[in-house]
Amino acid sequence: MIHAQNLTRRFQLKNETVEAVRGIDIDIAPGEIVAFLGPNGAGKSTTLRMLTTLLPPSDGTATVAGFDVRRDPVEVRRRIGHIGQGNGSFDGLRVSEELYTQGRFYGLDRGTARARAAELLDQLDLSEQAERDVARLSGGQRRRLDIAMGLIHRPGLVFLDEPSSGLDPQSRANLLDHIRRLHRDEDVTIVLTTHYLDEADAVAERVIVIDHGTIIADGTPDQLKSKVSGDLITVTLQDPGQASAAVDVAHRIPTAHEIQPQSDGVAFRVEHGDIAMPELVRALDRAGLAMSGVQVQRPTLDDVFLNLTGRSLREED
Amino acid sequence: MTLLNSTSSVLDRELRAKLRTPWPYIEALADPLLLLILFAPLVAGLGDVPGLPSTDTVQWFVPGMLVLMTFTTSAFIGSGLQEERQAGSFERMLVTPVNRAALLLGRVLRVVTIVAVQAVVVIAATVPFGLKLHPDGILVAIVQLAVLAAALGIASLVTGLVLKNAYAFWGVIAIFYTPIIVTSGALLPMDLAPDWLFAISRINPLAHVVEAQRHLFIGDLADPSIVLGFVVALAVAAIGLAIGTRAMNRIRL
Repeated sequence: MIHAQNLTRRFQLKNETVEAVRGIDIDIAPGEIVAFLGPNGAGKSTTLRMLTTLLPPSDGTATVAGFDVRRDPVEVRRRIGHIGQGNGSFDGLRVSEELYTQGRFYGLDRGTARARAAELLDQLDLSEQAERDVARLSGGQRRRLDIAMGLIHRPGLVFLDEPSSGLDPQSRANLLDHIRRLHRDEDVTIVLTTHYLDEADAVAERVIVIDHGTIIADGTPDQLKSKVSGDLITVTLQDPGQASAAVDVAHRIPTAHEIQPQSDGVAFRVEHGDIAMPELVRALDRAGLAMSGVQVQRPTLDDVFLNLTGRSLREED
Repeated sequence: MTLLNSTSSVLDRELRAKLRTPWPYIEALADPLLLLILFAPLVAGLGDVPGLPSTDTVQWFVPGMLVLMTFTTSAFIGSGLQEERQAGSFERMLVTPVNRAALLLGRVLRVVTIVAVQAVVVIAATVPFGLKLHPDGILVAIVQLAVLAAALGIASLVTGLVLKNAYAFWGVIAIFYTPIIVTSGALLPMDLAPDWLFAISRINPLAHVVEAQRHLFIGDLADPSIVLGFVVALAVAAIGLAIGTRAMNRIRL
């Protein structure tokens, strides 16, 4: 569905050339749902804009939905849906009008455009707002209208640029449901950018981590997480004074590493937290240490990012 | 999508949005009528002045007003394009297969349509003030105003497209507004102007159209100024369209 090689984009700023995307290779098969994950300014959106024909690459090639983005941009546009970062609809027009005229832009005849608009309004729970001025929609409704506009011509490939940024948690969950349903029920290939870890984790079956204009990791969320070496176990003791004894116990647990003394216990990683747990409880018991609590954490995508770059994605917010 | 199909779809969207927000057009209509009521009596009171007819100042004044009305309706539409660009809806349309020149032409056709309708309204409203109607002259006059609207509209869109930011756009408008209005000769005859000011009026497309309109409104269809008015307006439109099409094909968002 997408085949890009050495995709590069340079911008000229005053006296310096900034390389926003540095020779990225991407292959995405039909039916995939992929998230470009990375901090703001990593080059995710620039990559997306090259794939959607909004920005010509400075270097490299990309074939999207069977056509070259540089040679046949119009053929690419016919076959993709794009939901940009901004508001796709403009104040003063009604929901149904924006949707209908969007259909006309894709060459649908009047009847088809009207019918398809009604169908999408129903699908995206906007039927009640059909005759409302888009200026009077809530943030979540407006975003759903953007998605409806991106789907009017039944594209097989849909790009979403930061789809949920600026939405409240409830609207966000609702929006992600719509995206998942689109992928599952309509078999649409989806590429989205996000700087929210949980969003990439919740929606995508494949995550491409982008930082400083290059791809630094690519795989399913589980594959990426397995690169972080193991699960994190945190033990807190009833008597904080015994913390150093707990560190000794941790050293005797098989596969234990990255052992960090805590003020009231110990934290360390093991290969499989669920297997190490009973062993740990027994060992602490034998050493006469009483726990007040223990926590096992599977690695998160943030751990993955931290591991790869030495920075946390959360600090970006 | 063919240029024609694309343009009609864009025009459709444009008209739907703008017809429901009538304030700009009420403003555009109120302006010439207020000038007629407040300023035309002053012109009539000037008496014997070069470039002014000794009687029938309404017949002389109304064509200039129509040109000003055309200017205020069409010369600012570039800011609307900038707003849509800022918001994201322009980007949304750029990812559709719609012909990119049509994104400009549809907007131009909207102001052309509206200027034509407004011209009819203003002309009808000025009949009670003593405007005498020469039907064939008026017909040609309205066509010419429509061409002028297209020329100014495309020039405004290109300015909005190239300058990107709203401050720059309104800055350009602020610099050109007064010279364009004054040297158009719509309010007072340029025959009164010193040579240097008259010379400036010759490079103002509006001045040529004002002169053409005045001949059309007295039914003097043979006057060469009429053809000149058309040529000047079409030249502005052609230059604007050439730059605009180029800018649309090179646009980066």
